[in-house]
Amino acid sequence: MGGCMSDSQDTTDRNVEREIEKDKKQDTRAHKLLLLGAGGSGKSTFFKQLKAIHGEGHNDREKEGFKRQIHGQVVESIQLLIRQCKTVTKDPLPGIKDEDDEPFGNDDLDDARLSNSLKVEMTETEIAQFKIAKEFDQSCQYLLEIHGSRSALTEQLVTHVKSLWNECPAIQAMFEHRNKIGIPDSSAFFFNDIERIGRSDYTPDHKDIVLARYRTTGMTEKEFHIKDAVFKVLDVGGQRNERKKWIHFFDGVTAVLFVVSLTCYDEVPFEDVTDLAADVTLMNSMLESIKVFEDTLDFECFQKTGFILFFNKADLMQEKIKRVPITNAFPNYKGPQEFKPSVDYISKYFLSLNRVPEREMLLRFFFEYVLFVNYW
Amino acid sequence: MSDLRPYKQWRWSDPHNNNNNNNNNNNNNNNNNIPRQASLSHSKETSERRTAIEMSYQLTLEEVLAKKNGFELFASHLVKELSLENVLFLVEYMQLKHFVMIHQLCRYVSDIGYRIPIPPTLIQKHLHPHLLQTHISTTAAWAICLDMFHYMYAQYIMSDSVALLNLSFESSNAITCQMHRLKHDSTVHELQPLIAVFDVAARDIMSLLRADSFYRFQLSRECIRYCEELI
Repeated sequence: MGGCMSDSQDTTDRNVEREIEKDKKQDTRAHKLLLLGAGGSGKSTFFKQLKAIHGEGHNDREKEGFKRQIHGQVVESIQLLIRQCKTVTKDPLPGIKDEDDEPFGNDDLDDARLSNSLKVEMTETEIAQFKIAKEFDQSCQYLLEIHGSRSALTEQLVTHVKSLWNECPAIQAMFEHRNKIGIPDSSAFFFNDIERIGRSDYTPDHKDIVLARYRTTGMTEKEFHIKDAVFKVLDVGGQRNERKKWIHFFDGVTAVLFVVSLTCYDEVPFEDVTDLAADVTLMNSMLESIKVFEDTLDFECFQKTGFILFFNKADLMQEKIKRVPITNAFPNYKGPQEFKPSVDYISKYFLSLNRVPEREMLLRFFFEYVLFVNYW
Repeated sequence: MSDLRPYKQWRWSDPHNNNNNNNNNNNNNNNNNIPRQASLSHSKETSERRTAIEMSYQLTLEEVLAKKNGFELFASHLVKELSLENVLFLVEYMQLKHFVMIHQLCRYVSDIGYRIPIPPTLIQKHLHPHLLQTHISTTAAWAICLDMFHYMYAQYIMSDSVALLNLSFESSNAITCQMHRLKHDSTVHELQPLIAVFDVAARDIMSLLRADSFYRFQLSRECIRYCEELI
């Protein structure tokens, strides 16, 4: 280190050093908070909410970006729904010219899939409900051919999405299984509002912004000034490949905000989504979250770092618990299939994973649209 | 094999790229405050600047990638955000396609498929000159091409890859199946199906960039400065 302090050091070097010093000072003043969690847990959503509450809000330019995300989400979700319906019913995709459907032998495909997942057999009547009627062929074809470079929702696109969403029972039936095929809950909201969203003068409002779902790649940081304190919050991507990058931010962390989606106990992680045959008891995002949480707790540099566990989507959980028990992810749970005891169990389970008793662990719950509590 | 190394030189840890990034980094702590800053220095705000801001709204990912300086600016933005692997994958895949097209291999593909408008100079600069020679036989070209595919697969797709991409299971599984198929049949007729599965991944990555990284890039000071230069 000492060797570099030679006489030849010029002023630019010194300026740079001064800059670095200044940055360092600022860094030590700011509390560095890391938003971590498995993919789709709601880190970026939390980040957006922080920005709306404690930051300067979202300006028009950012809204333009969210608009694009929302449009992208609509197109991708409807394409997925169509493709999954076609796959289940073994209905050839209409008019897709290139890539003669399956460029590879089916045997190989099945081999690779079987090794990864675990088929659940379906009866013919069950399969039949996913059959998209002939009358929608044109819509399907139109939508599947979109490669969203400029993903504006044209009038034509809106019409097709609307007719499929509102009039095609197969699409609705498939949407019921969104947990297995990686379609966000909020897509229903956008489908229902497709006309408003498709208008040329559409600007997303707060609710739209918070509901927009998109994968994050890499990391972004933002400073928040709350009273006298400065918080530097880092938002990161949560999929497996993105988690490899986390270690780069682990230096000097004040606290880890670990986000867990309460409803993910029957959802297949994005990286594993295949088709309806997936068995959610063997593979779901809650198991993934637990694993990620354990790994994060184990990091040497976090042994003295405080953790705040955020349990997200409590509102959606209240609905889901009526249909799906948490035993999917917690086979030892013996309590009633109700919101309060289930959530208690989940939070205790997460806390019990901490093996460093002096480490500070806080629990927080929040709702998907926490911001709107004030709006309603 | 050794011929290929220069082709792989544009890497993740490319020291040149990192330097660039550090220089950019110094005066760039507050990317997000442009509108506020602009209103503070109200008198200074020229109509040119306003046009630049207006322009940055309208930019598309393709337009930025298509220009050499736009491409480099976006790449250094991704370095800061730790997601450079996305663009590296796209460049290396386009290099592969370029290689296919300038050699006899192109006779075996009816459709070169998805093309991202990355400046030809960038594509060629980082390809080894040997690979650009025209007299390579079809067999040799195909062997090199296969090697490129194996490299791409190991670098970006396999679960333990250094620069693993954020791909859906569907996309990466299709590639895995196709790569496994090469064990039984590695004739040049496999080229078209290989392109088909890699195209799906390339499209995936483009839409990931478009919806996530690119929109933050558009908000950055660098992007507005870039637009000012365009005017």
